Amino acid sequence: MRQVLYALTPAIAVYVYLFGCGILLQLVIAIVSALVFEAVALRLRGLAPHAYLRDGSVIVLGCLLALAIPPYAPWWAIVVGVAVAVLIGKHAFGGLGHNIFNPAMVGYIFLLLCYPATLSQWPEMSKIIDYPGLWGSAKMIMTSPTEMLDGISGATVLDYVKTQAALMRMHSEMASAATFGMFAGRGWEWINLAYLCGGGWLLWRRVVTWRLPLSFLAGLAGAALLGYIVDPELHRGAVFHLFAGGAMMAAFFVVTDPVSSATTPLGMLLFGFSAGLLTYLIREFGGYPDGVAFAVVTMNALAPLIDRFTQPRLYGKTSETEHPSSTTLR
Amino acid sequence: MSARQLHTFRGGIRLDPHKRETQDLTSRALPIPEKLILPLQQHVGAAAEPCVKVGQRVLKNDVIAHANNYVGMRLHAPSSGLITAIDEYPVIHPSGLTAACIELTTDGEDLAPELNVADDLNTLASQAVYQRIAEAGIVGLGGAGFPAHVKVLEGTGQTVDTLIINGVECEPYITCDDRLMQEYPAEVLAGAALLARAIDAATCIVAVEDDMPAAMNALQSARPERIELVSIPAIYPTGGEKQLIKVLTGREVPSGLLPIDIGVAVLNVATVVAVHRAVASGQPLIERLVTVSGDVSEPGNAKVLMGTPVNYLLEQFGIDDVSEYRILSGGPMMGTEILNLAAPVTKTVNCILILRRELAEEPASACIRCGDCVPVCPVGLQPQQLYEATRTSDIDLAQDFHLFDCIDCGCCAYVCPSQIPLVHYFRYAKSSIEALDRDRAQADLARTRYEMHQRRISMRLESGPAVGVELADVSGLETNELQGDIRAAVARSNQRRRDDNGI
Repeated sequence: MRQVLYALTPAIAVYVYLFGCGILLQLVIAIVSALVFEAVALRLRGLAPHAYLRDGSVIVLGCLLALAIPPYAPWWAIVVGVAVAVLIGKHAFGGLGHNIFNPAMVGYIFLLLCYPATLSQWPEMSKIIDYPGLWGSAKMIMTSPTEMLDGISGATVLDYVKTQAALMRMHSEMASAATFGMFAGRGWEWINLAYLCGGGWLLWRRVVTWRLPLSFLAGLAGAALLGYIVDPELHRGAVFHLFAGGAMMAAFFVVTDPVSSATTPLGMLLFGFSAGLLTYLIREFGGYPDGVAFAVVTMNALAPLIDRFTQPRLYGKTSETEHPSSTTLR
Repeated sequence: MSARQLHTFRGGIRLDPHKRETQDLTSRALPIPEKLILPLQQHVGAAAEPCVKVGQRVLKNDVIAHANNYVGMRLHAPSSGLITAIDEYPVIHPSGLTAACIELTTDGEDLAPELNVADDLNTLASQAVYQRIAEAGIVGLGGAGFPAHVKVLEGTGQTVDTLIINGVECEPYITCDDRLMQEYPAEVLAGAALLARAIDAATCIVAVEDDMPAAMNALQSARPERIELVSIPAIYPTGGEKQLIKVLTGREVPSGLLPIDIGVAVLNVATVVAVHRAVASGQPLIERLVTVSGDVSEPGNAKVLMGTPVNYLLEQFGIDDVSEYRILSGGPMMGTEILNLAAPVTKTVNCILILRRELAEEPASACIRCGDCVPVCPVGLQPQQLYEATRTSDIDLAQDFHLFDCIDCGCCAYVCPSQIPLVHYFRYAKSSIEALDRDRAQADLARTRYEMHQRRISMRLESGPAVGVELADVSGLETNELQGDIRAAVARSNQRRRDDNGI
C-alpha cells in the first residue's frame, strides 16, 4: 500500500504546480478522517483497530477521493465523501476484502450526486490564477467564500466539450478554445501523464499486473478510435480520451483494486476492457462529462459474474467433464 | 539419459530446496527402540485386524494384523519381542487423535524366521508378484499410502503402457528417496524392471529432479536396461502424481479418474525397492528411510523401524528440547504438525522436519482477492474463491469451484500475502463434506431399512396365516436332534411375533 502512495506523488506534485496548495490540505483532511472513520467502524464491529489500520488501504482510499474532488472544495465535502466511502462503501459490506464496490468511487459518486455544484468547481485551466498559499488555502477550504471560488473555477475540458457538443458545435469549431492543451485538455493532460508515470512504476515494481490497467486503457482508446474514425467532428480521438478527466487515475489506481474487480486472467481483461468502453460511452453519450466512476462501479457489480464464467481450464478437465462435483457428488 | 520430450504443468513455484543439508550424508542405522507402537491403520484403506494377543511373543517379520478387505493391508512385527498392549495411542494426525495400535516391547535380539526367497524373478507370474507384494504389507511410501498390490493388480488388469517410478522429491528438505537411489540404485532398477514386466508396461521411466545429480549418477552407473532415466526441472509440486504424468507424457488424468485410466501407473522409488525386497527375498515392509532435517545441527537420513516413536528418533539425532520448534511429519508445504511426539513413525512418514517457531507469527489478515494464488495453482483453481466458499461453509459453491480437484500442495498458502492458511480451509472442507456424504448415505440406508421393515409388517398384517405355513414347512422336514432345536426356535419366534401383533 505504501508503494501505491509513492506512485501517487507525481500526480500530487502536478496538482500542486497547477492548482496550488489546496490539494495538500485536502489530502490531510482525507487521511485523518479516513483513519478516524475506519477506527470507529472497526470498533463498532468489535475488531481491534490497530491491526487493520496498519495495512494502509484506508489511507489510499482517502488520497484517491481527495484527488478526485476539486482542490478548493469545502472541508465537509471530503469528510462526507470519506465517511460514505469507509462506512457504507467498505464496512457495511463486511470490511476489507468484502466490499463489492470500490469504496473511493462510492464516496465520489455520493458527492457527485448530492453536491453536483461543489464537485464541479475545478480551477479554471485557461486562466492564469494566483493561487493562495498554504494559509490562504486553509482559509478557503474552511470557510469556502463563494465569490473567491467562483473567481477561480471554470469548466474542465470534458465539461466544455460536453456543453459545446450539446450546442451542436463541431470539434473543429472548438479546437481553438483555450481549454485545450498540447494533446488533450490543458493541465489535465499533465495530471494524467503523472498518473501514467506512477502507474508505470507500479507495473514495473509488480505491485499491479498489466491486465486490468492496460485492458481498461485499450477499451477506452479502442472505442474512442472507432468513434473518431466514424466521425471526427462529433467524437474526440483516443489520445484526448486517454489523457482527459480521471482516465489514467482510474486505469492504475481504481480499476486495479483487487477486492472489487475480477480475478481470473480472462476476467480481468474483460473487466478492464468493459470499464474502459463504458467510460467512453458515458463521456460521449451520457449525461456526465466523465464516466470513470460510474463505469467502474457498474463493472464492480458484474465482477462476481465475470469471475464465474471465466474460470480457467482445470488440470484434467475438458468441457465434457465440467463440474463433475455437481453431478457425481451432490 | 534419454531424449524424452518433456512437458510443463501450469502453476507451481520454485522453492529453496534445502536438500544440501542431508543429500550427501549416508543414512544411519539406529538401535532398536525399546517399544514400537504400530497403528492398525497406516494408509488410506480399512484398518487391519490384530491377530496376536497381549502377552504373545513374536519374531521379527511375523504377521501381527490381517488385512480386512481388498484395500486393506497387513502389519508385520518390525523386531522380535512381546506384545504388551493393544490400545489407543497418539498418532500423527492433524487434530491430534488417538488410534488403535499394537504395542510391541522389543527384546533386542531381533530374531527372525527364515524368509521365503523367490526362485527366479524372471519367470514369476504377475499373480505371484502381486501375491508377494500383498503379503509383505507394502503401501505407497511416497504419499497417501495406497496399497501397492492394488496398484499393481489394477495395472495387470488394465492396459498400462507407461510405468513411472517417482523419484522426484519436490518438497524442500526431504532427501530419503534421493539417498535411497544413491545407496540402492540396483534395487531401484531391478524393482522397476520387475514391475514393468508384471504389469506389461512398454515404457518404464525413473524420474528424478535436476537437483539430485548424485542419485542420477548412481542410477546410471547401475546400467539400466530398457528403463528410461529422466531428469526433470525442480519446480514444486512436480513430484505430484498428476503433475509428473503431465511433465513426462503430456497427458492429463481426467478429473475424478485415476492415472490407470489413461494407461499410466506411478509408484514411488521407495515403494519399488520395497516391492523388490518383498518379491525377491520375501522381506516384509518393516522399515523405511526417514529424513530428519530443518533447524537442527545434525540433520540426516536414518533407517527407521515402523512404529518407532518420533521422540526416540529425535533423541537419536541429538534433539531433546523442542519447545521452540514445530515438528512436522512430511515437508514444509504439505506436512502435518506432530502434536504428540510419542506418536510413531508409520509407513507413509518420509520426513520429520524440525522448524523454529517464528518469534512474532503474524496472524492471517483479510483476503483482498489479490489473486496471487491463481497463477501458482498447479490445478488451475481459484483459491481466493474457494477460500470465500469454504470460510462461509458454502459447500455447493466450493464444489462449483472444484474443491475436490485441489491436491493440497500448498502453493496458494505459500504465496498468500495475507498469510491465510488456505490449504487448511480446503482440507477441512473436503473432510467435512466427505463426512456429510457418509452421514447422508447412512441416513439413506437407515431410511430404506425402516421402509422395508414397515412394508414387512404391513404384508404380515395382510396375510397373517402365512407365518403358520412357514411353520408347517419346517415340521415337514426330517427330524433329528438339531432340527428339533431349530423347530423350537422358530416356534418361539413365531409365538413372539403373534404376541407382538396381537393375533
